[in-house]
Amino acid sequence: MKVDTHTESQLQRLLAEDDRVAELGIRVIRLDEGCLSLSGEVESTKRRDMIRQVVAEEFPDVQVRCDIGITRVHEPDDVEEL
Amino acid sequence: MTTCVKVAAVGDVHLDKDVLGRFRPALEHLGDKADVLLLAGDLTRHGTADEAHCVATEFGGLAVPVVAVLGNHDYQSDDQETVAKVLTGAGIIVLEQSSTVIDVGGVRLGVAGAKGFGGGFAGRCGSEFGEPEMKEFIRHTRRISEGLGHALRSTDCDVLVALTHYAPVAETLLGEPPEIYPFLGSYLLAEAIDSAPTALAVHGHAHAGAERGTTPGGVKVRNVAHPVIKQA
Repeated sequence: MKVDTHTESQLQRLLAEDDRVAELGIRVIRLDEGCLSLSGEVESTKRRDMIRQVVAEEFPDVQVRCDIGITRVHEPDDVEEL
Repeated sequence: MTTCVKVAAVGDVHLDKDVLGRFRPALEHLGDKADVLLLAGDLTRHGTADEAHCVATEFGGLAVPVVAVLGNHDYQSDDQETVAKVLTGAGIIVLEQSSTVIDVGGVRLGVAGAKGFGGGFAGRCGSEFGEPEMKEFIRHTRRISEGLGHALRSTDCDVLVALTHYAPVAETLLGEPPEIYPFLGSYLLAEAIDSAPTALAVHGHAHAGAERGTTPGGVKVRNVAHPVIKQA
């Protein structure tokens, strides 16, 4: 399947508007080799897996690389004085 | 008398059942490290009552007072009043164009908060002109900003903090595509913040933005969106 700007737009919209995803902070980048890359961070592996699943369902013929990370939740170890 | 106040803050935690308990280990020692916790909106994924209960469980009953504003995700189910009610029921102070004063060892910490909205920044922003939808978009931001400004100016305290979800300056959006800045914040919020003796402005919303900025009036701005600060 030809991947163009329309595909990018449709995928971005899917990530925001599909209730199973509802992510506005995921970036979609069209790579030279004709595939799409997803980057950004979500709060759980379950949410990342859901993104993979939803994208595969809606765009079965598009090769998608998923570089989404999980946001860390360790305690802050520094204090900023203002 | 010292006026040192320790403020902990995070936004965009997007709680739902799948991440319940995830923040709790980091919150265990909160009382030793901070005097107050600010939550800068987008506390849920879809703004449902169930998700709000997750927020209440995660951030309720902590060792310090918790003050929150809602974000756009918390409005997604058109049930933001229920979300606010559930949080309030868990002892979380929810602000919208309003303020609260907390006594921190004799220092009166004032927090004025509002969700905020978009519109953009000087020279690259929308105005109340044209179609009704366009006018309504910017009017929404203007009204919220006016409400925030009023809340800030009318809070009698020793240290004043502004809490929003949307960004008051473009500096803390660096890293986001410039084309979407008008959806991430508005200069009208910074005008409100600068209209009062604000010591610090805290916001979320811009997951790919930068942590530090300053308003034109010199108020320090911190983007505490969870993916930006990368810690609880």
